Amino acid sequence: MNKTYIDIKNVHKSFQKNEVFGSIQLSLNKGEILSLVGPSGTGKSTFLRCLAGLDQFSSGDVLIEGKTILSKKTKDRPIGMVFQQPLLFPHLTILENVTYGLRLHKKKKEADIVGMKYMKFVGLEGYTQMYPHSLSGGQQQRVALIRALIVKPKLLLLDEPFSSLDPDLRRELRDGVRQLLKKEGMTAIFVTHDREEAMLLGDRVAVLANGSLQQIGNPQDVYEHPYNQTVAHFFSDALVVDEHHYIRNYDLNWTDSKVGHSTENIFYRAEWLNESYHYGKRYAHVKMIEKNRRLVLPIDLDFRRVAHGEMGYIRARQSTKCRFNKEGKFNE
Amino acid sequence: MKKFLFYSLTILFFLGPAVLLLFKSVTPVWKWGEPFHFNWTSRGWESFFMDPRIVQALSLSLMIALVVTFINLWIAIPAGKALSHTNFKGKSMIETFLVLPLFIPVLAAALGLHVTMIRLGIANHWFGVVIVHLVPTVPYSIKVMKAGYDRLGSGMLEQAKMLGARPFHVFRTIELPMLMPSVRSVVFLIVTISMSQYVLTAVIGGGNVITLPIIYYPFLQSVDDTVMAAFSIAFAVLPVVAVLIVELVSKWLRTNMSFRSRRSS
Repeated sequence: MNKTYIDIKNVHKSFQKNEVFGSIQLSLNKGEILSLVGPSGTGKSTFLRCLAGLDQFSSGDVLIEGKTILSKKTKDRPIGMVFQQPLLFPHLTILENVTYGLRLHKKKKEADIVGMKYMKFVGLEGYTQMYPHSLSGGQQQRVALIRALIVKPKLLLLDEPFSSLDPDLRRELRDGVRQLLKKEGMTAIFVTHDREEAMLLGDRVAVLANGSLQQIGNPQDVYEHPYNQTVAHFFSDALVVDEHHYIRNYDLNWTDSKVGHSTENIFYRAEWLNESYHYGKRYAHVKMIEKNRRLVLPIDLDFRRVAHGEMGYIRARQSTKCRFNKEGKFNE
Repeated sequence: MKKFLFYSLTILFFLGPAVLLLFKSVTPVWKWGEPFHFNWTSRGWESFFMDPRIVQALSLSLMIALVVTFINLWIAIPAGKALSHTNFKGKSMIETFLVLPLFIPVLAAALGLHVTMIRLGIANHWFGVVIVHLVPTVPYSIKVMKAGYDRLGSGMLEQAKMLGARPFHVFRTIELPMLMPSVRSVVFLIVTISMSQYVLTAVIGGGNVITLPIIYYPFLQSVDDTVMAAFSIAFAVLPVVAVLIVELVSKWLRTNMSFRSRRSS
């Protein structure tokens, strides 16, 4: 795990005079999956397209096994890509779709054998002779995935491959995808704007926002110890106290009045907007009056029903306040 | 109801006239006031095939139309792709520029071209006729192919490229099969336009290039409906033959060449 397999060095992209992203630096080990997560419109897709060769970086370098790939043409880069849409070739059968890349170098018979093996991996062995239109969206996306995997790229790029699917299907598919990628020992960059998906699929997550890489680390670390406000807002469930401090949502409570010592507690006046239940837990959706920000915090299941628009307080213990920095938690 | 409307309109405007034309080509001329009679005659087709120039005119028309069509596709496919899938400065200007030939009278362009062609020595030659037929056809085919590429989108092509396919391989295996509806429209349109050119062929061909219309139009002055009907049918069958030929060529290109050529590498 210590030898760097893929090295992305200071890549930068600007379009005309607008900077899309500046100076992204990251490296991947062989077989590692990195989730690249960030709000829409931060250049995640552009970053992948540049890696793939469908677009060009303005500066920087990308090394795979120590060799630069930026001078190579798209078709010669050892990189595969799965797009948001399955993009199956409608005039070819599923098997022909899967073996499209293989057939460039192999005979039909050999390619078909390998193709069948991969189709079995994703449970589609009965669909070889069908055409893409007779498959569901999830099945199509699975075909797109194995079509990219089968040529054994050194790096696989996944550009929000589940975004066109409904939530149930997404959940079902992402476990399978991770398993398959791990089984193949594939090094991959997975782009998403869904935090849950990023955590589930990636060995590490990288948060891309405001044109630069904000933080990179294992999902739990990034969630628990955000480096800055942007990460706290986007990736962690945290209340940003000020530019240096945050409190994690699970350390917050809802109270009707200011009870408890004010030296030990911090109170924020808030309006109760609504509530929801999620995986057996109850959550309050509240709006902080002072900061005009929405917040979702866990509450006890047996807590009384609160009417919409009722005012109250968000309470946190002083001791749970953390400081943004690279060392993580810092008690004051 | 919709089906009924479709079939009745088809019969009324398409099948009816065609059958009537066929019927007309094998019956003698009927004059107003004469009693109806059903005498069959092969005179229409006889005088059509008896004309010694007819077989040559048929094949020349077909050849000119096919060459015009292939040159059209050869220009329109890359042009349509560029206009649809790329962005560059002055794109809309070029797009407008490309349809301009449709707005000036073709005869004006032809007379200008004639002078040049005489200098180049291709006036009175079938190739000169091919070139002048490009004037009223290329703008249409570019429009059709651009629409085809718009519908195709760039995603599929990028996907094929990502799988390691060379541009020409992508063209054969993905673009061409998926653009076949547009290609068919172009072929039908261009063959029909090319085969209907009388004035352009007459001016540039200078009477040496005898295509079907050159023989056909003088017959219009005669009132022999039977012969005219036979001519018209032959005229209508030609584009169908041309489309079949193009279909075969593209099929060969798509299947025979698609994977074999890369096996060795």
